[in-house]
Amino acid sequence: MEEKSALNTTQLPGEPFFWEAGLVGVLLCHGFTATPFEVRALAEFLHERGYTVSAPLLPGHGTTPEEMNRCRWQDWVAALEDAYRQLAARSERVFIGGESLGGLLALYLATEHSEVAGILTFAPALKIRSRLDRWRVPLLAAFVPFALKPHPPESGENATWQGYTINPLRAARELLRLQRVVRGRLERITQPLLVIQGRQDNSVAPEVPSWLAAETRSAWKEIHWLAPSGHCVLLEGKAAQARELALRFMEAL
Amino acid sequence: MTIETELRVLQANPAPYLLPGGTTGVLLIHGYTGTPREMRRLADYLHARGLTVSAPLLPGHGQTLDAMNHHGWREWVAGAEAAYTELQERCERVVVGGLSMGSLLTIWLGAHHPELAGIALYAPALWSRRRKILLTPLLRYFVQSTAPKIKTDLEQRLSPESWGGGFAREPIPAAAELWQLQRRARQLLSQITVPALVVHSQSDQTIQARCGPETLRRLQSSDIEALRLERSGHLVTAGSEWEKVAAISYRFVERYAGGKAKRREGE
Repeated sequence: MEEKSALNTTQLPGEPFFWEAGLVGVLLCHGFTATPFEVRALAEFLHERGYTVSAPLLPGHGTTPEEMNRCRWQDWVAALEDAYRQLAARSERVFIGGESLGGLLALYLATEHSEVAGILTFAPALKIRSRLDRWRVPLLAAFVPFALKPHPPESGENATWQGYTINPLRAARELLRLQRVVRGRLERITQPLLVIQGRQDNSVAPEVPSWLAAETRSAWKEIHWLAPSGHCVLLEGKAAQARELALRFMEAL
Repeated sequence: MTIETELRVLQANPAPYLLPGGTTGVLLIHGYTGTPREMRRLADYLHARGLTVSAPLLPGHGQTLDAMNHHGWREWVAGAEAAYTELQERCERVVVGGLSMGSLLTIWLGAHHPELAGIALYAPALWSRRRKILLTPLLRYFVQSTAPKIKTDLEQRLSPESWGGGFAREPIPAAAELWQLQRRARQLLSQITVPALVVHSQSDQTIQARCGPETLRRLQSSDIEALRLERSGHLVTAGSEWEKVAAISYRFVERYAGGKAKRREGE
């Protein structure tokens, strides 16, 4: 029974949303095992200021960890791509962004769509911090479907985070595969780029923002570290500052 | 008079300048064999918006080849330090910006003065494109100067702000000193924690293409902004995209040193 409760999902509003407003659109993608709730506060903030905001729910999320284990990274890309096209059809300019895996997917999408007005990444999961996990996940995934999360994001200050409380390992292996793909494509990125990461982030490697700064070819880049924030920069610590920085970045372009 | 001699006449005023303004000060440090003229357009732009701007002349610069060769990186650092101290006395908050070798001195100041509101690195010259600089530490004991090799970009050669073309020959001991400063600046970069702006151009023919990216990789600042130019040559503060550089620079100063700037972490 206890395992069943770990496989249980949402207690909070985690559905996808599309809020219409002005002609500038922002596509916001949630992170690994999370739901659009993760980007909701930022979405509300931007929507109030006249941006049309779309936050899709990625395949395998908001259902069960078993279903997530059946997804490939291409499924996530395809879902985000659909949401992007829908938003782009009614917008003059579209910004794309996301948290963690969502940031990684936004970077991937930017390499396919040079017309994107700018990229907003919050703790982009370009490389996971734990060396052990980088080795262990692909090995374990061949034998075991799930593992416990080493740093449960819903703990402590992050009580509002929602999503799966266990790690679907085959999905995690897909995340690692997508990381390799995106790392090989960084120099195709030419759009303005914003990177925000927490100094206390236990999930994403601390070298990621400087990699992005060094290896992308964007004409404009901003890197901001938030000292008190952990991995979920949009939910905890200086989340308000992260929102302000995102708005400032978009308005200055 | 050929165009080149005409240009040399234009370059003939290497005087430092101080443009008094508000309580936020900007120190602008010129590059190797350059003069404060390289920074003049940027200086005027910032001054017109209410900032106090100081552009010192580095020791050994703006004079003769001989003077250039008789001053080393320690004196250049001392010159930058003195100018910073002087500006700091006039202003509440100071941002330091430097072009090319001036950016190396800016890195030095940034690493030693965590009280700075920010640093701006224009075409950070971590590595020269010309391999000859690697020989200068030895060469300096045998040769004082060599015939110039015009490898700098056209924009730089035609720029009235550039003194670099002003020397008829290339100083060798001074180049060895530049190399020493480059080595030190590369190491100091990872000690910098103050907000940083990096401006580099993909058409820069003077420094290696990896300078901009490596600068960005090494900085430890909590706030980093980077502008990548397309058309400008090495002298990004005086080149065809100087207005963009000036506008971004002013915004950077406003964000991190101006009254509107948000309080950052650690404050």
